[in-house]
Amino acid sequence: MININCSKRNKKAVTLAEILLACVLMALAFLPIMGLMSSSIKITEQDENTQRAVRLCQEKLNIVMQMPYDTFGKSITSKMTLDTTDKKNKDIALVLGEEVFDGIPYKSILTIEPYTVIYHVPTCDFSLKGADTKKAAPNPANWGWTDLTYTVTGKVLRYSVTVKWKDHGKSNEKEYTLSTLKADLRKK
Amino acid sequence: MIKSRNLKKGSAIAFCLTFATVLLVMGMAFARLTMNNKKQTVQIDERIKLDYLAQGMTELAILKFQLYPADFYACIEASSKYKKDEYLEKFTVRSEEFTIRNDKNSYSSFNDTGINLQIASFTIFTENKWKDEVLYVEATANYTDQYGKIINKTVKRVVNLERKSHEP
Repeated sequence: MININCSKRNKKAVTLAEILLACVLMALAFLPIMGLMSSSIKITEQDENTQRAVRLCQEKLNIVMQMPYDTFGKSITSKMTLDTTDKKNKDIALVLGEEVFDGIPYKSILTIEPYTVIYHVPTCDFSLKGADTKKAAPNPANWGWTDLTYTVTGKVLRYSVTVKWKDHGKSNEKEYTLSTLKADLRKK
Repeated sequence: MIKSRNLKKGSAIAFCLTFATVLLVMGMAFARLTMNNKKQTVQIDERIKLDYLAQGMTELAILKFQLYPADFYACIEASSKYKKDEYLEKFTVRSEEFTIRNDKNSYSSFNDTGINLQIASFTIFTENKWKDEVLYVEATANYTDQYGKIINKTVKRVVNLERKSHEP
């Protein structure tokens, strides 16, 4: 009887040691997983901030693109940076400068710069073309083609919207910029 | 009796090790999933840049048409009537101003790779030669992301044209 009790006690003692060891091993296994989860949460938060910055950039650039070509001046000859909302002109629904979302300040900056484009235009001699097309078998090679280049200024602007922000608990500033070209396509 | 006891010894450790391995595999799968999500998020963000830049290229193409319509129509005539495409190609897709390499005006703190831009198609679609005409412009933009994958974006733009013939 005594022997049986002893054997039971021995079995229990071994199981307890095993369980303790198992717990330690489990805890060790869980540690990197917990670390992964925590870094995943941080990455998701940072992605959310980035996406908000992208949305802000898009929103502002879309507004700028819908504005008439000369909204920011009849002739822009040098780079122009706007980082505050134009409070005098209430018609412009463009908010620049600092906006706070979920406790994070986002700063929007609009840059406008002139874009010079050099157009390469193959031009034919219209008198030669006219004479050639009257023939039975016209050949465009006989139309007197020349390659001309035209430097066009004051017709295209480059708009860039930059949004800057800092993630929670981070000291380095992040930024995202969207840029596009807008041509003066108004009919004269 | 002793033998059976010995067999039972260490079984919890075996279970634990198996369980820990399963957990680690799951953890690694989770990490990979997170990284893939991150890659996709970056790709979506970067594709937006390509979209705006490609739209900008279409503006350049439309302006060229607006400034030099007679030359464009001569090139179109040589191409469509007489099957000589070289002049139209010179005016459109092979024109220097319609290829921009390594544009760095759109950037972000997580990726500042240069973007390549190109007008891929620039032509006229005609239903009735003198009435219904549209200018069709297609621009492509691409760049190589930080994971080495090439990201492409195509923007198509159709502009209705009013072409009027005047009495001589």
